[in-house]
Amino acid sequence: MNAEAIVHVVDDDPSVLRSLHRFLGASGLKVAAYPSAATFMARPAHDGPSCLVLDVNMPEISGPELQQNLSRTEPPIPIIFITGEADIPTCAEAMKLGAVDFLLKPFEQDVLLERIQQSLRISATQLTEDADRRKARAQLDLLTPREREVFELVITGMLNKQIAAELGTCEKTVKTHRGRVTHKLGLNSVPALLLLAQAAGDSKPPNKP
Amino acid sequence: MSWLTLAWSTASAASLTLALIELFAWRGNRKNQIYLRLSLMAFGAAGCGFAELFLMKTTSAGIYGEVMRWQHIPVFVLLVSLVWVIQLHLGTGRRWLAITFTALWSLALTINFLSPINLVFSEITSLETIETRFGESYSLAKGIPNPWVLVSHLATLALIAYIADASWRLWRTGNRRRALTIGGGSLFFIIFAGIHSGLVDTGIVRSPYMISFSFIAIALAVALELGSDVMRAKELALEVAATHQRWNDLLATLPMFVVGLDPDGRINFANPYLLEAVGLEKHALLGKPLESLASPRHAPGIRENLKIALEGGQIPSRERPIITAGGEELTGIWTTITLRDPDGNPTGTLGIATDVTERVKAERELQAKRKELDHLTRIATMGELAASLAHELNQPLTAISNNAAAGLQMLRQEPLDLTEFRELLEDVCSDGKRAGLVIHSLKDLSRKQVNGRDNVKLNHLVINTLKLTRPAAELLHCDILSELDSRDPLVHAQAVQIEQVLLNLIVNAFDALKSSSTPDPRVCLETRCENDDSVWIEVRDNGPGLPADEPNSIFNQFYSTKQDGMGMGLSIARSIVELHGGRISARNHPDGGACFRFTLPLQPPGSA
Repeated sequence: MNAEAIVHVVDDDPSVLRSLHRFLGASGLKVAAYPSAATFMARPAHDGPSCLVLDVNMPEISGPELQQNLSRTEPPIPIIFITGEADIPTCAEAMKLGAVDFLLKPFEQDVLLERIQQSLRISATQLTEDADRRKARAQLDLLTPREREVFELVITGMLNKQIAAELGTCEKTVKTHRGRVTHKLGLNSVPALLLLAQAAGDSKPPNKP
Repeated sequence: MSWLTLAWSTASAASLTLALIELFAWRGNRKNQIYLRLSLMAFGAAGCGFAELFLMKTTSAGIYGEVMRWQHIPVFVLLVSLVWVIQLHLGTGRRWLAITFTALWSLALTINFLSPINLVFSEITSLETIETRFGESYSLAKGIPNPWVLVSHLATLALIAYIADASWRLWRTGNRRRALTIGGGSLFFIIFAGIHSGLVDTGIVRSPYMISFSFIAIALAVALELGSDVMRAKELALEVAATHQRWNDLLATLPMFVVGLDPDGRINFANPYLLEAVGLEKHALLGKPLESLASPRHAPGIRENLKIALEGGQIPSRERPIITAGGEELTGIWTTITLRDPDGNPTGTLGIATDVTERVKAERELQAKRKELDHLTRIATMGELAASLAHELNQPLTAISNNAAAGLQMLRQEPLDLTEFRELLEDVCSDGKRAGLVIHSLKDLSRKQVNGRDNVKLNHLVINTLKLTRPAAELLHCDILSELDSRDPLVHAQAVQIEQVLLNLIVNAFDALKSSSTPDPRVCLETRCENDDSVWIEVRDNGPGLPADEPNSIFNQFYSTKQDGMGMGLSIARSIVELHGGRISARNHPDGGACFRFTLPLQPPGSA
């Protein structure tokens, strides 16, 4: 999380690309410029927050096509589209897929900067959430399958007696498992366990069907 | 048995009846003198008959002589009437002969009354009673003939000469039947009566006078002949009535406007179709001045035309509106006919028109739609142009504005990286130039001056151009025929420009065909290699052709035959063709229509 934020710029027009690179650089941002979608896809990995300033009309792979490709990969990256022509269907589709904004060339540089800042904040948040999820999952992975079952039921707010009935065992066994869970996770209250489950992102809903 | 009395009184009574009938006929139609003359003739014959009967029956020589004297009056009436009937009826008699005859007989009649006894006898010596075979007896005078009777014989000769001459002339005009019945018949009976009465007078033949019978025959012949005239007149009248009915039916059902005008420009006829169309009753229109139908801006012209028509001039067909009761305009194409009386004097005009209101309206609407479409097309083209312009200009403008913003940021930083800043400004310059180039290329596009010539397959180019013109051709229902040289000529040309020339020629042809409403419009395109060096392309239409004088002046700038034409199209076409080393010419085709031909230098085959 100590890696620097980076702004990726993809535009097939060299002078637009160079001018953007120059402007964003002068504005104190770290910029990576790519003349095509393909060169962007082949970029080196980067750990820190990032966002993408993407031209819509490009030969071979267009901006929206690149967005679709990216939406299938992790982690999601905030995208700001820039285009010469406002094409409503394209714009709508891009926004539906989570684009931050759709800017018409020539745009206000301040607006672009503001959107980039916003995108980087989103990216940073996403990265934090991502890190929390990974940590929570790592903790949950410490539990045995039986302990995991007990954990899932504890966070629904059930009493030991009810959990025992659910799992077809005696109350005493449930108490033992529960003790091990709280020990392994270092958390001894039900709300704290619930927060962990939420951080892991794959907890079962509290109300069992 | 009194057969003589019976015969003479019957003949006389018949004559009298005829006389009365003719008299009544004349009373009904006083203009027709023929009936009066015939009536007088029949009265004469009747009087003559009664006198003859009296002569036969008298036993006193004194009375005989006196009756014979008075008998000359009906004979005079009869003969003079006959002459003037023939004069009127045959129309071929010599007037001076008729007058001579009338004068001679007037003289004879005067002598008759001045003579001691009468014109025939200067003295009656005895009165002989003659027994007929059938039992009735009659009287016949014997005496010394009056030498003045010669005057009546001369008059009879004049009469014979007159009738013979009139009949002969009528015969020669071809009316042989009438010449024979009236002329021949009259002559025969006059000669017979003259010879017979002369013989009886001189005592050579012993028979009663039979002048009356001869003249009854003549009167009957003329009356019969006249009767056939009456019959024919009746037939003609029926024919006229049938024709009149036909015309009335035609005018009543004809789906055209028909208006009659009298010499003062008042409406004296309007057919039902027109009355219904304008929504007026007949009585509301007849007798009104033409201004109540014509629009105010056309009425003076119509009055002028009426004047021309009445002076015997021709009025060309014109498109003119009439105004309905509701103030609406109905357009007709009017043909004006001058009406004349039987003597050929103009009595007014009859205007007939096809109702083209709907057609005119449809044409106007179509024209408006076409204009609208043209306008929309122009806007659409401008829109497309603007979009492509926007896109092309956006890139350099974006780059310039980014660079400018970057420059501002850099100026806030210390120290300023001058190398970087110079690069920035260089980029701004090059992007500015790039934007300029976009504008220039746009200008070029509007001038259709795309650079660079290529080896172009001419036939291919023609086919491409035809594709562009197909929608317009279909709208016009115009056939496009092409006859392309099978050697597939190759030219070194700028395809867009040659297409422009072709398009201009084809669109001109369409315009000519459209404005002249040529039936079965057709445009023919032909390419042909003239020799090894050049090829010609011909565009020909079947329209009205070019103005006869100076066909090639149409290539001059600002020369236009079109109302909205700039006169630039053909001038540009010529400069394009000449830039390509070719020539363009125009002529009228011998089979009609304009024919444009331009040549281009041929490229050797295989140099594509």
